[in-house]
Amino acid sequence: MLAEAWYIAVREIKHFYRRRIQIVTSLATPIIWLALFGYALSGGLPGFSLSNIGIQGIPTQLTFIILALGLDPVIKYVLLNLTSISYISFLSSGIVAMTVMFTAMFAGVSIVWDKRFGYLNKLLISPIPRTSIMLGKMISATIRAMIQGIIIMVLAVLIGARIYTGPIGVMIAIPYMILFTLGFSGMSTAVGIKLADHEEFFGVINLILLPLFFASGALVPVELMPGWLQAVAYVNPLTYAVDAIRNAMLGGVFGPLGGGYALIGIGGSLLVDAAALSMFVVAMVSIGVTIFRKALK
Amino acid sequence: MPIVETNNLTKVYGGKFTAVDHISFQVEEGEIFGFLGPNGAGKTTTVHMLCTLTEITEGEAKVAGIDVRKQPDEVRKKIGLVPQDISVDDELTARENMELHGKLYHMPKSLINKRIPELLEVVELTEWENALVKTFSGGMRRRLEIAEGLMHRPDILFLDEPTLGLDPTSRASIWEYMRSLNKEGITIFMTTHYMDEADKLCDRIAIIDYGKIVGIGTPEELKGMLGGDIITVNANDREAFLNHIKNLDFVTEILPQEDGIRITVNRGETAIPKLFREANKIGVDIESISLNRPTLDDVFIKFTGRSLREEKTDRIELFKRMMLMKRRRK
Repeated sequence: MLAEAWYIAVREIKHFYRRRIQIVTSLATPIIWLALFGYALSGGLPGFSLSNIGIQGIPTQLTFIILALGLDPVIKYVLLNLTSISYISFLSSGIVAMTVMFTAMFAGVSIVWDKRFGYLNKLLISPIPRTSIMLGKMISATIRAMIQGIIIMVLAVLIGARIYTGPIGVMIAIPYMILFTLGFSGMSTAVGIKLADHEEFFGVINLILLPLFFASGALVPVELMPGWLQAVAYVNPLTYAVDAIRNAMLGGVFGPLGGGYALIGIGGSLLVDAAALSMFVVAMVSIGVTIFRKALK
Repeated sequence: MPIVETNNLTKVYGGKFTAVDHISFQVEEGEIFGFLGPNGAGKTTTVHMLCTLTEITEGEAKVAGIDVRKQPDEVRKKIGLVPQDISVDDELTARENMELHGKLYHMPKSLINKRIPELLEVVELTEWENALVKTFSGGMRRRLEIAEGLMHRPDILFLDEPTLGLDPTSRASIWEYMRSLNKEGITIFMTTHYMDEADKLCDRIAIIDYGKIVGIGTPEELKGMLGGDIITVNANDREAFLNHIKNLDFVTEILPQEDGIRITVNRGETAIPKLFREANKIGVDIESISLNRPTLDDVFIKFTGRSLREEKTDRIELFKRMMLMKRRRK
């Protein structure tokens, strides 16, 4: 089953690198988001500074304490810059997670296209396990998401974000990105096999993607959200992906879970994320496989 | 032993629409078997059921002696399908398409490498081995699709409307490939709504209409059922002429059609002068008359009361009207 899944994945990857425009747009979109959103809000959120000179590992709480102190605005400003990170550095991990999520969605898009152009029948008539088709799409989406995620990290540095941990941080982030893509692409292939055309697919997927994105820590730290939204964020798998990538890239608990998990430190926080994302993968893949098998009976 | 055997094969969509209605037939090993019928008759549904792509609602089907319902994976190894909508991958080269196919059928690499050039030569695509399929014409794509379907040497190749939308030259060359494949021992099961195609190519034909097989046999047998030649007559007083010839003893059957009255007679050559004489008797003028040996279209009309051609002309009419409307809007 793995061999067949790999052959199918190779086909998808060939599609991707032969569509040059798709490569450009799939990288340009998140980078434009990062640049515009990152700089637009660079001074507007409490706890963020304009520069990247903040000291690594200082918890967000300290920032809030400084904000609350009745100091001279100039001193406050200097202190803030020393104890916090710029919004664009904070946001870059959120944008990496977003890129990974959007790429994972393409697993489902390609199922819809294959169905539309009859290629799915060609796969179905060959003597391969049904689930190898799903697995192939998931593998290709994961490879794509990894490549794009890493390129976005590099581009983010070029437009002014800082990865405090350097290449090691990037390496730590990768397994989390893989877990998240597997779970999400499993879900998107299941949605794809159920729906008739790509218009329906994008409708349903946007209904899932946008709320997930805004109700996660990708744009705003979770502890700045109102209580009910925090509750939503804590059951949102993207929150955990963002948190892991953020901890890996920043090397500190600036993350959306910074408040709650500050006490257990980076390592503990990463463990929580790993557990949450593993549960997400198991749940999504088993639901996905069931739907997939049923649809292709 | 028959290579395809069905017993009351039925497909009902959504509990309401019966696409295929209790059909039973056999395809013998080594023959070219044709499913002839208009669009929507249930041809593709039948093929898809035999190819394990569509679930069978009722009845049984065996392909290469294997029960399609019980062992679909075993059936898949024995069959090849050239679908109606060409589905070779545009973004891959001809070679990559075939290579992937071979891998999915678990063929060893050496065999894949040996067979690709062989098959590409058969379908005359050798020069385009490494070209992207998106640069191919419709005919080339269909030829590649056929070559791909043959990669794993299936016992039986299903071709769903293999020449749909192709120009006469491409059609002729595809017929040629089909004949040569058949000579090599591959059973061919094809669907078509072109009568000439079924007539020229098939050893045996099943005529299907509204999900039912209305006639089955060799083209000669089917045409023989009509019991003679066909004379198509247009007269200035159609009704009077119709009423009069009903009672003539040399006329075996009368079918009024849009393009004229179709009269089945035993011997066409002697019937024409007789018809003129009879028309004179009642003062009707014959405007046009033609004598034809029976075609499969006549067979189709006999079994269903409609012409296979009618639908086609309707579509052309519709298209013309659409174009006219578009022009007016501008």
